[in-house]
Amino acid sequence: MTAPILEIKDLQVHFRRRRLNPLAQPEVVRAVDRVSLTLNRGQTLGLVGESGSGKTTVARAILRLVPTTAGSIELDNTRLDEPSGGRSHENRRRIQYIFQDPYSSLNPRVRAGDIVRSPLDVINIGDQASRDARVSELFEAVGLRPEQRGLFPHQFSGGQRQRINIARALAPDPDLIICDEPVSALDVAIRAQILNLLQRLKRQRAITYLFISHDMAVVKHMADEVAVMYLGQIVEKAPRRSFFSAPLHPYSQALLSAVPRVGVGTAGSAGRIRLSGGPPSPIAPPPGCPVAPRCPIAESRCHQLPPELRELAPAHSVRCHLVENRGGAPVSPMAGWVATHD
Amino acid sequence: MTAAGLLRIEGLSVEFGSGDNLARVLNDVAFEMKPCETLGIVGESGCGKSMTALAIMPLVPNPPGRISAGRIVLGGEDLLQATDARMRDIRGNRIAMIFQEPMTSLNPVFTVGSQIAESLTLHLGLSGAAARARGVELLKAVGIPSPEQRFDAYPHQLSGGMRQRVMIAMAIACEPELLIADEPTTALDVTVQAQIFDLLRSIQQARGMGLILITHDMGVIAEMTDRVVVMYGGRVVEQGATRDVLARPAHPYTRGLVACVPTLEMDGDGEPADLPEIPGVVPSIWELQTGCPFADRCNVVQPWCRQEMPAATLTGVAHWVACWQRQEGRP
Amino acid sequence: MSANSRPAHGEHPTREALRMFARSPVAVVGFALLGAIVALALLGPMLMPADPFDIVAVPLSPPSFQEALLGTDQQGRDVLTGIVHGGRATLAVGLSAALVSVLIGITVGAIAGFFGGTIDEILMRVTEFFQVLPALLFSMVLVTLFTPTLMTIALSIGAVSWTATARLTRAEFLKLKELDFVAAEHVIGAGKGRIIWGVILPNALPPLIVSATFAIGTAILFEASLSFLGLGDPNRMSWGLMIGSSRSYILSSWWAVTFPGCMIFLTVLAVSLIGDGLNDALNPKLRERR
Repeated sequence: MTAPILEIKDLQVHFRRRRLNPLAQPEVVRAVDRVSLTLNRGQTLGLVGESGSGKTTVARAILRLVPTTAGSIELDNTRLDEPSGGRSHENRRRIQYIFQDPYSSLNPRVRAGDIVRSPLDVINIGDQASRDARVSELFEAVGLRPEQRGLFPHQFSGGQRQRINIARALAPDPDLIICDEPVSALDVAIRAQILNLLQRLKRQRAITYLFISHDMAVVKHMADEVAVMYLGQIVEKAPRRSFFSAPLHPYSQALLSAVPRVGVGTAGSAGRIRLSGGPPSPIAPPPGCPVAPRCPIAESRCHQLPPELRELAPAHSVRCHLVENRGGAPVSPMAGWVATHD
Repeated sequence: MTAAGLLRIEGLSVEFGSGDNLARVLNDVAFEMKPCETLGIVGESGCGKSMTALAIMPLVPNPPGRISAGRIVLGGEDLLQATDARMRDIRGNRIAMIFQEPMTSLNPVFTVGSQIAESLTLHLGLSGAAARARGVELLKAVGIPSPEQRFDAYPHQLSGGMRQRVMIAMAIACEPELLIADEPTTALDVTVQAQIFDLLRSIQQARGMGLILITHDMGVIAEMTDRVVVMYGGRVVEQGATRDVLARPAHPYTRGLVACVPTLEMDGDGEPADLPEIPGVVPSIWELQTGCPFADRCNVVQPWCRQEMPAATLTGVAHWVACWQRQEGRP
Repeated sequence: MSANSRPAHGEHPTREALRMFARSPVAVVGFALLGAIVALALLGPMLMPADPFDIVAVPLSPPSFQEALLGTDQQGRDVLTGIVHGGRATLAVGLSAALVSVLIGITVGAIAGFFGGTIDEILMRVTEFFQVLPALLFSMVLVTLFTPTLMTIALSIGAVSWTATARLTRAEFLKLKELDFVAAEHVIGAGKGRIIWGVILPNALPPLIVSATFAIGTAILFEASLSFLGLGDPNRMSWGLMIGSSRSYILSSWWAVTFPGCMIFLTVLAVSLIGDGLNDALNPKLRERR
């Protein structure tokens, strides 16, 4: 069950922006900088990062919504980034996308049933009757009533619109669904409903998810494996258990400690790892480690030499100079820092 | 300021529409807070938490809304009886508010410095060099690096976190007694969110300000607030000390809210179980019936819950809940 | 009305817009007025079959109940007959010219807005070229190049007045193509044709429809100007032709110029009222939505 379904190798997505001076070289925005990921069939890979990390760009590159600059994306050994591979209806069918904003992701002038049916119309699957039957089936699968297919998006609540989004993504029976912050725009109580729905569908239909989010608690609930991105690069990649019980990269630890928690009360902020400054702009990345300008334990080599992604434990990779292997187990460089700052 | 407290709200109701088409956006809302306290208002969209903040200012859009009943007492003065001129005096001076989306709260064609100075000129009568000096001081107080240069920056030149700091600087410019923050970090990254909350906490302690924090995030409530008010369908369903409400939530809605959020605590091996759900959706305020607004989604609902809204009863030290489950008598 | 209550069939946005339109008194007045004018233009010549170019009485005789109800022009032609018959030419040219300008404008704007880049640059330079041309002069040139029939007049008016629609369409496309539901179409594999014409354009229509309505008014005035200058079709009676041929006598024989002028005024007014009503009906922000 853990055969890879999607392999991303050394993906780079660069955008060129012209400067005001037409003679100057255009600025290069390295939105995605040598990212390699493997998605295993039936599993959920959580892709985490803040704004500017490049996580959404990776998703859009998989779907060819943005052009790739270098690297390869393979779906079951078919290259997606090459013109012939990406365009085929078969490949389009197998990967679908759930958008973040339930308000702008549905065409306001089209009825819900027609929206859910549109992938079948475009790919020309079956005939009219079978498509309509499938729409009813999909409505029920996502918890809507098939009688509601005649309504327009503005007549549904935010959570219901997200269900329509999910139904549309399921329509062509995909193998892989990219979920781009699917619950961030929803009310707290509705999030639980949608997350449970996504899990149920994954179990029933053996779907693989690429789950993009900035919400660490949601990722912990949904993902089997976690990859953290910063400024277009992956800084840590680990299975769920290892990541959440013993994160190695200082940025991962800062992300986890920044999340406000219910159990700890007002003292919870005391042990927090604080990053200075804000998320960086991908236009002028610093030399050396991209996290160094904000990292509380950065040393001089961190500012000068970019670290490589090293696998330090089974399936657990980190991009940091300061993570060491002591007695066979990797040790986080923040361990000593936390002890003295508590 | 009386010893009784900083702010007291009694029986506040806000209505939209009229006749058959009437919606009570706020229905008999009541709570109080002491000076230097942080009060959290939590609930989902449509529960009335933002409208409560607007009503305190009062900035309820009129038409179509109007405050139909209640008192809002700030340090002994009933704000709803005040004249327009007096309210303009109070707003910005004694009460200030910051919003969720700093990009739309700041005027894009003026520098941030001139917008801070505007408040100083209006309320404190400072002008020119004095306003600029104080403005730069404020930018430094909210942790903006190179404040002299940033004073002349335009909003689009600053990041989201910096813009929110500018909003905070504008809000505290006149040393208000009460600061209302409506989802101030929802649009920001989580590491920046942590910084903003640190800032709000330090400002509050340094200036002895009361802080009302409106949010949907229970974790934020847990970490930042002393007392919490839980709202649903325009009503207050539970309120009390944050510690008590989160440890022993009395109202089914509060219990559901606390339970349905995924946490970072490590659980057993294997896949996490499904999250407990609150079924259904938040009702539209135009469709609210009599009785408890949570009745349709409540797992312990009884027939009388739909007939009459329960009054608030004491269920712990300064811990109130409005639920028939906790009442001795029934209608 | 929410998805939790009874209705299982939502109201299509177009029907909803028409319903909102019918609620606005301004719009209904405009619609009724235009309806009356169109009825006059279509049915009038059947009820009054006289040839408007016939000489019926003494030239420049004032309005009287015995002879010409609205008087005669400087050639002795009946003003009333001219008004009844002239409507067809004016409305036909006005409507078809507006149609031509809107079609050109939407096509140019949609392609420029959707594709961006070099295509956008080229199309925008073309648009600017047409925009800086003095429109009336250029259409006069076009009309004199080709013999002036109603069709060539309509085409030449349309060919010079499409630029505003093009810019508006391009702006709408630039805004709409970034929205998620357009990206969703790319994801399911929809072709560019379907996306441009089937997905983005219907959502871009509201301001375009309003603009098209005002384009009708502009085209009618344009046609009147051309006829006034003697460049219209000399074999068809139109209101502009009536004004033009009697313009020297405006102070002494006001009826020959004023009545056709009023008709033009009323038509353009009706169209503008409809345009205002459509703007309110189609603009979701102005509507109070429940």
